[in-house]
Amino acid sequence: MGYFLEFLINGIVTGSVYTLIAVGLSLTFSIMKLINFAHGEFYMIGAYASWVIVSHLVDNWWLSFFLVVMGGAALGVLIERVFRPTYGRGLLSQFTISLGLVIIMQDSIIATLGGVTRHVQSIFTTVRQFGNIRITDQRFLIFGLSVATLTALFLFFRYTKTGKAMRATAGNKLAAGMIGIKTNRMAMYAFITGIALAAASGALLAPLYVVQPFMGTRLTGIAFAACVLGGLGSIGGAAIAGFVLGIVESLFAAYVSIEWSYAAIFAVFVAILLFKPLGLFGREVF
Amino acid sequence: MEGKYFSLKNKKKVICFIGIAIAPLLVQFAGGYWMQILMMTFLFSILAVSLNLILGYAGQVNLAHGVLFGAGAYASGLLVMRLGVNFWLTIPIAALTATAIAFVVGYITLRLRGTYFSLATFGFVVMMLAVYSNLSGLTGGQIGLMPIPPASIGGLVLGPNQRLVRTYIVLAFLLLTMFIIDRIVHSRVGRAFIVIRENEDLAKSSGVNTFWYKMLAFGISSFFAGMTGAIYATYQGMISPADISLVVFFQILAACVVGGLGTLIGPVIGTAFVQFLPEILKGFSEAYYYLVFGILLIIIVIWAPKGIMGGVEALRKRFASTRTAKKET
Repeated sequence: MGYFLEFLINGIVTGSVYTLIAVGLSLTFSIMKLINFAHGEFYMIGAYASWVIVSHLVDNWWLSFFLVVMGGAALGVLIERVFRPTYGRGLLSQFTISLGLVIIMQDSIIATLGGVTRHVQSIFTTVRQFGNIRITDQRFLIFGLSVATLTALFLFFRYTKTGKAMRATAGNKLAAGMIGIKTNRMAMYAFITGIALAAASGALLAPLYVVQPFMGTRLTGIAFAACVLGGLGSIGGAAIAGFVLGIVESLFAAYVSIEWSYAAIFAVFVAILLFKPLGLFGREVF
Repeated sequence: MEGKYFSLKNKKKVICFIGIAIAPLLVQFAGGYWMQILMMTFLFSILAVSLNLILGYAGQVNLAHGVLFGAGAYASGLLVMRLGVNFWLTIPIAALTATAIAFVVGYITLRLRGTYFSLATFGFVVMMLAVYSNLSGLTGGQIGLMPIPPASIGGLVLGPNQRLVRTYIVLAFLLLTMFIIDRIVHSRVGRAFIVIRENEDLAKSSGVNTFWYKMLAFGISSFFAGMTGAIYATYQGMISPADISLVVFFQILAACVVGGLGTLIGPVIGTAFVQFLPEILKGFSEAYYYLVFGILLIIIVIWAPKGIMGGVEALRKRFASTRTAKKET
């Protein structure tokens, strides 16, 4: 039982990171109906940036986290520019651009930092004991920051003018444009948020796993699974689905098979697409 | 119709054909390395041309082409290695294996449309990759299935050093594929595909059984994917999950987009672009060539929405119009 709770908690913690990535992907999808297969690579870039900053520049985790998030946001502005000509052109152009971005990002890392795996030393190594459950501070930090970010995003979309404008764009781009919302700018905000979130997740998860150039591809898949599970374009749904997937993966890996856990997620994913193409959480806008 | 198709009067077709047919002979002078790339270009062209049938003509963004190519490769490799079946016999078996899997996947996923269909096929990609890498007893796991013995033709063993013969065999398969796909596209079936691409509801309401036509497109394109898989497996001497990863598949897809969707020759040109450009760029910078390739890929997609073929067409129209404008003045 103690182990079960530990697996469950680990699942919730990784799930909270999946949530951050999935929410970002869902955001870019809902605003511009754009499928970005390079999304997980920003997570990889974030992890590497965190490693470079902590091990070579300043030995201050909080400062490095801040820099990674800011860098992710700046990258978002650039990436939106790359995708802008393909809005409304259909999936295929966007897939090809995604491939180009995947190549650029993976290869720039391999060319400059090499293909070897890296380790980021966690500074939050205190282990806390609750009964017979042991949790490191790193996991507390991940969970706390994720939940705080999600809450902040929720409030942003609910109450600010820009947030409402983004929701309107997601709901109906044409109508939003007619009432004077700059839809392309909303897309830019979506990319800024999405990529900053993915980069932040990279920095958060880096101390738990090894950092290597191909780590992002798996996360792209998980983010898509979470988006579909939650209903494509539903941000709240993606957030809940991220947690669900994290828990399912952790428990499946612990009790059934670690090799098949990733495939199991996609078996669920296909089943849901077939029976509920709009996802588990309906079709609300955000 | 047939007579017209093979007529020597169509100069462009004849020049194209001769050009492609003597390319391996010319490339032979450049050395074995370039020959290998040319062979891979022809091989991946088969994949691109067949993918183009469902992607460019039927308009369904199918992401499972790569893993079905893998299914063919594994089927052929296993038959040759474990049961000692003659390689040439395994080609149709591999092709039919891929088609059978495609029918199952298609039957499940083709009820969905657009983005949802793409994502559902993506789910199958992940599952099948997991099957290939986890059923270690059968497929050799992550390391892969090897060594797959080379095929032989009339006593000549097609080992890695028989590059010219191997290239011509792949070329023959490519031309066969292009011919069959071209015939399909210009038939009643092909017109149904195009109507489905342009407007699926309209197709349905005018009596086209869209579901089964989409299944047909899926099945035919997967048939060629499986066939290519068999050839790939024997030529490489091995097949592993890394050979059929999503990035490899995306290169085939990019070849279709870059070359020109819904054209016969476009995917071949696109594949040549995707295969040769990185190698040419490698000559300039060993470290950054792939990076530059990624940038060029993005630039082409942004500036030539209809691919290289579309760009050429646009240029020709522009020159034609300036020429007529000059005549008029």
